Amino acid sequence: MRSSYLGFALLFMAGATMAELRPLAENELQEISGQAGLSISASLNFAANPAQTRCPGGCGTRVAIQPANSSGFIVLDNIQGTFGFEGLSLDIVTIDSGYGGEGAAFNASAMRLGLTDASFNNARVTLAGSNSATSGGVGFQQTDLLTYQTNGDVRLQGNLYIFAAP
Amino acid sequence: MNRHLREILFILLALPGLSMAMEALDDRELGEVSGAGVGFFLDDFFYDQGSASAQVSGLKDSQGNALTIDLERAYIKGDGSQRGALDTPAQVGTPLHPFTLKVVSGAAAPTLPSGTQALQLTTPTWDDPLNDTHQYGLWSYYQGCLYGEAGCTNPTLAQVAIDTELGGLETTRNALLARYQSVGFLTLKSGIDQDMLLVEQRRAQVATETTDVQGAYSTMETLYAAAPANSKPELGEKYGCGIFCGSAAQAYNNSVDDYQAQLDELAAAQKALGEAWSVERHGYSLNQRATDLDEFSSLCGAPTAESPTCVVGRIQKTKDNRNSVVLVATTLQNGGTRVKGLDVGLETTFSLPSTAYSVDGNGNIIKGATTTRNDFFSINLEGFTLNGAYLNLWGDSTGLQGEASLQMYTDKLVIGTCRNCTDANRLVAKNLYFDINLGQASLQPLNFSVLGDGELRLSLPSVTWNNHQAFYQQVPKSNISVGNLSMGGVDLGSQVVRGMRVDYLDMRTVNLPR
Repeated sequence: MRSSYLGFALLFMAGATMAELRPLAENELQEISGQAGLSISASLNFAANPAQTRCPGGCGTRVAIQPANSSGFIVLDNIQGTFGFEGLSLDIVTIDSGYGGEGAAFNASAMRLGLTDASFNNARVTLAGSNSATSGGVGFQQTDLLTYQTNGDVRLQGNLYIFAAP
Repeated sequence: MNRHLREILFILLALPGLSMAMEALDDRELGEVSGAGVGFFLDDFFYDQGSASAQVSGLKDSQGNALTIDLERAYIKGDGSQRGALDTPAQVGTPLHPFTLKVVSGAAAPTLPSGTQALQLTTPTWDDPLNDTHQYGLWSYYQGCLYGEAGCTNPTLAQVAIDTELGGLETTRNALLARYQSVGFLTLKSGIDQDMLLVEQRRAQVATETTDVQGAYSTMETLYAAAPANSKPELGEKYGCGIFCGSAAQAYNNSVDDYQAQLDELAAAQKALGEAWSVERHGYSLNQRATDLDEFSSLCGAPTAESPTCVVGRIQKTKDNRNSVVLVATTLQNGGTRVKGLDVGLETTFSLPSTAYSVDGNGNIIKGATTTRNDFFSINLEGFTLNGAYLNLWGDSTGLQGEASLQMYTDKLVIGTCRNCTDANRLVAKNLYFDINLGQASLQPLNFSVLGDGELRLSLPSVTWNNHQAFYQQVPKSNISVGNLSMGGVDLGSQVVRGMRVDYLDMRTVNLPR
């Protein structure tokens, strides 16, 4: 199998800045279609910003979503820690058999995301409601609903197939 | 690469890069999206927490202390994993029955207000009797036991159970028909209507007398407060001074007499009301006749002829249900199988304050020391499916709106509070079906918003006078049924809650001081 191996590490130093994930341009996508698939390994580190004293030890990354016509924001706050995986695969396959006969009837291509084991190092995220997209400042209000944190290796396998639905 | 796939890739890659605020798509963008959707399914999948540790914090116990829940173990695997012990892979959806995410309007979301487009997420949906959650859930409730387990290999048990239920309903109906056969149901109803006039009149009288009693009581209370303190009786008792009472005591004594007189009048009115309910026609009291007519209407619909038909109401509904039950039973007998579900499990530990209470020598309960107790809680689902569920989301001037139908079915739900024990010490629910419907796009949209102070709010508007008829006809109800519930090894039988509907909901979070 021809596959390119891609490793990258992203470091997010300032807690309040957004993760810079950008859509691939058309020409980059064209390149992918020529591949048999690609495998991705990554270690993403979301570091705390000690300058933000609102959270003990500094706050991590913050993602705020404002539902339509709401005055406030739903927030994934204080995202911290390291999230890593090795060998996540991405390719385009044609499903034309299997699945109790459904594969043959389907007979179309789909994007396949091959899931793989993942590891967390003190990864945490807080679900909250807030009156402001950015944190801190005068009049800042936030209700933390719950915080989830995890540490160690989880076992994950499977293929996620994504395709155009009629 | 074909164009659709490229679009999907683009959507997916763009997703993690969500900007700080969600933006409404403009018309041009909607034009491009409409009609095209994304389908997805998971194959050969399992998740196991493995060696990772995980905690959920930010919760409070009853004494306001921080509560941390340790997730010791969590898994999502295929049906037959023996509660996560085996890495049985799961198949969630198939190429022709995937999850879908698309923008819909019109026939795909018939309840939406016209001209509105919604983002729709649907779970894998089948319409064959075994995988249509409505039909299989209904059959499993009547079946009671978990199909395939020892002693539960005959799928027609459900048919016998629903026939028994239907037989009971029909016996009641026949008894009512026989009782009023010579009278006629329209005559029965007009007799009730006539006799109810007297009941209404006497109800009004009781209401008047009740007001009078309240008035007399409050007058008595006022005068009692103003009455002299010297040898003061209890409220409602009179001073024993007779004609030698001062004016304040005399006024109070008179008010006690008034109050007693009003009480007597109320008692008389209540008695008269009772008598109005006892008025007999055709040999039956009004109370009996009204109850009978109500019961008949519930079984067969409100009668429209002296000898009424029985084509709506509970009997007809049960007959319709019987058709589904028979269809599922027959399909199973012919060797039909269901798409396999998931095994999902969670084991947690947490610490809670525990206060010791004891009884002293005098029988008084004494509060002892408060210590910390470690508790264990586990929940396991076997054969869990979410087939046929959907969520529609859209925005309008009042915010993010939605309607959802959750179709959760599980062969077995096991809740335990002991780490090393068997199911004999746990709560086990078999054939559990949650048919939860929240919101209806036109009449009662589920509204989600975040308030200006960052508090979350979830609300369902209430029924109004203008829409009440359509509301009660169209807003979907919710049902929960359990084929068999057992606790500590004791079978409690089947449980069902049918026809729940939320008339009004307004739920919001409040930030408590930390």
